[in-house]
Amino acid sequence: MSLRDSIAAPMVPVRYRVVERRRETHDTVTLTSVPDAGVDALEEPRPGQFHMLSAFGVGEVPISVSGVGPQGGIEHTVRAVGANTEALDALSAGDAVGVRGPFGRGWHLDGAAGMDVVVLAGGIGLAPLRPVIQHLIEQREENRSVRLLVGARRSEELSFTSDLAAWSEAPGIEVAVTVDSATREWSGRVGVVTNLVEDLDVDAPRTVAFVCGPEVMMRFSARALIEFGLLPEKIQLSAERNMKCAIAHCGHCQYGPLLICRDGPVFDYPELCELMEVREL
Amino acid sequence: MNQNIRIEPSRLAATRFLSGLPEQSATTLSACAREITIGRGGFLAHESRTADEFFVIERGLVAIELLAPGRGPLIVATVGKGQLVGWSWLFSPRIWHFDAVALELTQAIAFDAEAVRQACDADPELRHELTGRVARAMSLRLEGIQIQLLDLYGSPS
Repeated sequence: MSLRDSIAAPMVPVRYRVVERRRETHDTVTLTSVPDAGVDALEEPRPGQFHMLSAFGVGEVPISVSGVGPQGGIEHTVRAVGANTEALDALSAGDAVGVRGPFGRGWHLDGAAGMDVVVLAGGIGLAPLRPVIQHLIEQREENRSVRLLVGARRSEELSFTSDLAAWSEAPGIEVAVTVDSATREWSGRVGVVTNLVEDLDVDAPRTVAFVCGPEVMMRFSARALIEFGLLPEKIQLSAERNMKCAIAHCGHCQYGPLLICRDGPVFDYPELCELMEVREL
Repeated sequence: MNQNIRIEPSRLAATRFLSGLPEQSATTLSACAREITIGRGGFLAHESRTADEFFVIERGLVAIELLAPGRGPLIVATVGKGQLVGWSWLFSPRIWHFDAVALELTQAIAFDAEAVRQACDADPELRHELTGRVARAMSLRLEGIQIQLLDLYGSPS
């Protein structure tokens, strides 16, 4: 590779092909993609990292990795909320998709060794946490409690329902789900996801938390976890801003002194807590 | 609804809502309390009826809901182990504003609201303890509902 190519490489999408499309909710799909014939696979992403996905002819968006499959397959869960994501949502098996990355700083899973773990997800925030849960299941530690707390708008808008059912059966893991509104067809909890925190049965000072969801939800969740007894530095959040270049050149994702694409998207709560309360940011 | 099982004071303090209640207050309150067990679909409270009781859930899950014409019951919130159901008994006109329905087999401590009000009149410390705890429960519920109203998981557009 020439110097020019190596400099350009992070900006050039690699051609992948969608091999599976699974509908999660009415506006959310999970796409599994593999490198196109004759194309080298990208570096395997770590949990919490993201790719820039291109719908050719439409545009490019940052999407967290929601899983890694066999043969270099990567899973991305996309919610259709704009032109780019609607184009990705419309892809079918066999369609091409451009992939750049992986980028960013992922979850610090080493910090969870020997600790109880709380995974707290709101809405599609469960997607980047899915590899964390899979990791915790694969690296199961005896005497460690893993608690997955999931919030969604309504029961019909819960993603990864088959995973949630499987995780509920996994040893050492308890799953609690709450929705913001429901009819009697839903027999589970109704209310904000932070309500689930006070029911936790973990050893708070030796618990780490991985949190992802809308920013306001993360703010309230972090406060609830700290009030419950977790140490602020043991809480990790995945932030989201307007990522464009993904290599800390364009500045679109600047968040105070931070560039989310380079310094994040995963941060320890103390790195973000003051910034999250600055109105101008 | 199974009823009339008397409650020991220590059992009140074992619930999250009444955790740390001074012994004297727990003893006074326990004289106004009884155990109830209610099956799935059973009502703890009906909208518009007199709020002559309130409940602390020991086991199970209760829906706070409203019946909407043409839509059926809509659940506003659920209340689980250790939490309070009902504060309408504190305020005029002392009627329930929502239904409270067991979503699963539920065991709760039911309190006679009139007896508790009289006990509070006679015991300022109990009044202080109880109103503070009810206020906190209301505050948490309100905060949760306010966040729910933001529809954070809805489409950004």
